[in-house]
Amino acid sequence: MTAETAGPWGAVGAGFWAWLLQRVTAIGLVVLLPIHIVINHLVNISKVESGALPGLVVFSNVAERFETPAYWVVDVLLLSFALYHGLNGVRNVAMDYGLRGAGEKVVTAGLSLLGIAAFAFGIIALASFLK
Amino acid sequence: MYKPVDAQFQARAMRTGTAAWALQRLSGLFLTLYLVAHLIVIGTVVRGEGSFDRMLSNFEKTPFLVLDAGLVGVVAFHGLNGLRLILMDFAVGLRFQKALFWLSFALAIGVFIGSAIAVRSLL
Repeated sequence: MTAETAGPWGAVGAGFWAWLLQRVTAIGLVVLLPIHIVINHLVNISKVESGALPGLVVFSNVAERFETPAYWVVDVLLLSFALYHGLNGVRNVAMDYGLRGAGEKVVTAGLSLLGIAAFAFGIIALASFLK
Repeated sequence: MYKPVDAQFQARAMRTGTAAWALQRLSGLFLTLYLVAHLIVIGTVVRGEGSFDRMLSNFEKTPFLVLDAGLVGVVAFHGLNGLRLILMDFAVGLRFQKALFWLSFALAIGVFIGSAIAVRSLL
């Protein structure tokens, strides 16, 4: 099956969309990861629990933060972008080693299933922070 | 007599792009493995507040904090060098691609040092 659709530059294959999504998620991660790291390890230090190292993530801080919907948006975007970017990256490596045809389909399906399962688990984990 | 030496140096200079490619690939695979580990560690929250806080307290130990600073450095390198690759995809700044690689590398080392200082200040 050649998944060809008419894009703005004429007929483009599935490979084009995979390439484009890899770039879109890359830019997204460049913006979101610094926010994620700074908020989790630097912004929460004033509210730290007794005995815990400042900068350590504790449940109550995350739960409190999740009362603001914007943090949900950041975390759900991070989860989906990081999973796509990482797993599609693994697929790119496999294809650089010459993976094509049936093998490519198996690897793509396997990585897709892994990504969907990890995304579902991530959402369940994020929801567990809600009191 | 000069020519072979010159050619050798050129061959070495040509390898900057290959080194950048290898580093991007290795850091990418490492970060994907880290993502899986990260989801498993953070995922302990499904067992409740106590499990989560107990799991995360393991990472207060100094070796993990040093690794944390290293991780931020690797993320910075992969991200900055990745921006350079996107520029290359659109044929922007091809003449400066080597300089941009070294800029990514230098900035990532700066981010690593900054993270190490931040981690140190939390101890």
